[in-house]
Amino acid sequence: MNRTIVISQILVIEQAPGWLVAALNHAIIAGVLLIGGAITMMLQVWVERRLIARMQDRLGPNRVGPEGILQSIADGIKMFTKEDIIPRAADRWVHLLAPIVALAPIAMMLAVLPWGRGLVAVDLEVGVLYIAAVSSISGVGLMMAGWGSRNTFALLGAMRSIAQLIAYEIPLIIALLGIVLLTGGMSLARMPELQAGIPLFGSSIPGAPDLGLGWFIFTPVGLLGGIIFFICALAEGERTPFDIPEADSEIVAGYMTEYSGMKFAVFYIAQYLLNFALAVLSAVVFLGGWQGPGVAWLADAGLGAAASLLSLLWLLLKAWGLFMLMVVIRAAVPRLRVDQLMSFAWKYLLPLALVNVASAALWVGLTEWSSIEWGNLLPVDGLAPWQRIGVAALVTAVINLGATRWVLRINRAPAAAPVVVPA
Amino acid sequence: MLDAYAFIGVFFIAALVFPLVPLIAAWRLRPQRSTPIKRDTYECGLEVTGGTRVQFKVQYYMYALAFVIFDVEVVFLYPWAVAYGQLGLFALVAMSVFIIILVFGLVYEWKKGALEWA
Repeated sequence: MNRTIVISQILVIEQAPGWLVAALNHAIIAGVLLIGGAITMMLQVWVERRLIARMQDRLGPNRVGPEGILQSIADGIKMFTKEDIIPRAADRWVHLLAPIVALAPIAMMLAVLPWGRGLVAVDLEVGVLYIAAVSSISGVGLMMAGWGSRNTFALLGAMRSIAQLIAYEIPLIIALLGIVLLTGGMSLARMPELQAGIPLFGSSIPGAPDLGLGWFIFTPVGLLGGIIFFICALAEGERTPFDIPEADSEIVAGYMTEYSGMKFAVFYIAQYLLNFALAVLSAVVFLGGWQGPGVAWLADAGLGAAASLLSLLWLLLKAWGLFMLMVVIRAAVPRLRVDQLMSFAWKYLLPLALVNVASAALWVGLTEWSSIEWGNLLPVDGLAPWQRIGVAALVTAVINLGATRWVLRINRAPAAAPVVVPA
Repeated sequence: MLDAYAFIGVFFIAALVFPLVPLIAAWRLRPQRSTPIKRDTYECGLEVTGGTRVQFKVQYYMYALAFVIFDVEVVFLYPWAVAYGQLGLFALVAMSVFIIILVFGLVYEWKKGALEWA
């Protein structure tokens, strides 16, 4: 942050009051993040259209600029010139405010995400809680859109989207809870720092090289949590197979039915920005964030700036990889039915997420506690840290695998009654 | 610490400006030629019949109730998770009891059919 203080001191007069300098610093960082978000969103739309087209044996947009990369800018210019049609029956103010209420909270998610080694806008102690709190406000905007439009399709879409958002928010937050247990803190900026070292064992083996691969996804707790989190992220971002709220073949465009022009585009931006923020969040919490081979070596060699740049590239690589996975899933999987959607959240993901929290609690107990807490019940007390991690991995892997099999079994549909052919 | 929240405050204002900029720019740029037909409620090209405020399945309400219960549970679980490393075995036992009570609630809902979309 010190570097930006210098920048804003050049910009303002030297005798400017301290709060003004601080506010200007903050505003510059916020502006960089939001403009970056807007550019990312345009790239996302282009990547998605090209990738989907490739999977459907088409070419996709390839005329505007090299390989069609400027297509989103052309679309943006078109959006600016489109007439804004507000239905006579609609509530004008709610109709106008809905896209703002939908986009602003999602933009606020970008504030706490760590983008690279030392590249953190703000290290909030309650980062995970902040993300959970802020991201759920956006649902209010969707409900406002559906209600304010005074259109049955819009209202149906809004009700569906609220039901879906709240159903998948619970397993999403509980999946994060498992990782909060492992790290003992809610700060998102610290999470990548704790994922250094080698797969599964992290930095617990003395003398092992720091590959930057101690990602939580390589532990049984992180693997199950990461899968649950990613599925919930698909649902929260309303990606196919969870695009029921705007199923175009059923309810036109859901809550966006009565929107045109720039207001529609703002909903669109909100959705893509949410997808990207959730991809970054998945990468930070489960895939090591900016950790990757080479970052620690560059930092040890005294090349701090190069290490930061490499770490930023690692994070963007992971986030874009996850986004492309979302696109491929969209091309490959059909839409769920609403009853399947609900039972998947409440009957599969929620029990699994709760079991995963128990696994995480056991993991911490087996790897970190000494026998003072456990009396003589703890047989792993004398082992080296990496041996204890091995034991914990084995135990939690058995628990999580067993729980997955159990959840699949209790949810198995009863065998269909034999069809009796009348004689 | 306070500086962190000052940043969140500035970011909040910036996040509000973020959707406002394109909306205001489009408001200045776009044509405004409204006609009564254009401002009809969308209904696949037909005239709208019947009210907009349709009735919804009671199931939405049941899911909302379950959501409130588990969301409050999460509020209790997060501080526990942060302090867990220092609290030791007592924290594990206490929270196990809490979670088991809630799991009983979930099982009860499940058996009662409150989680069915029927």
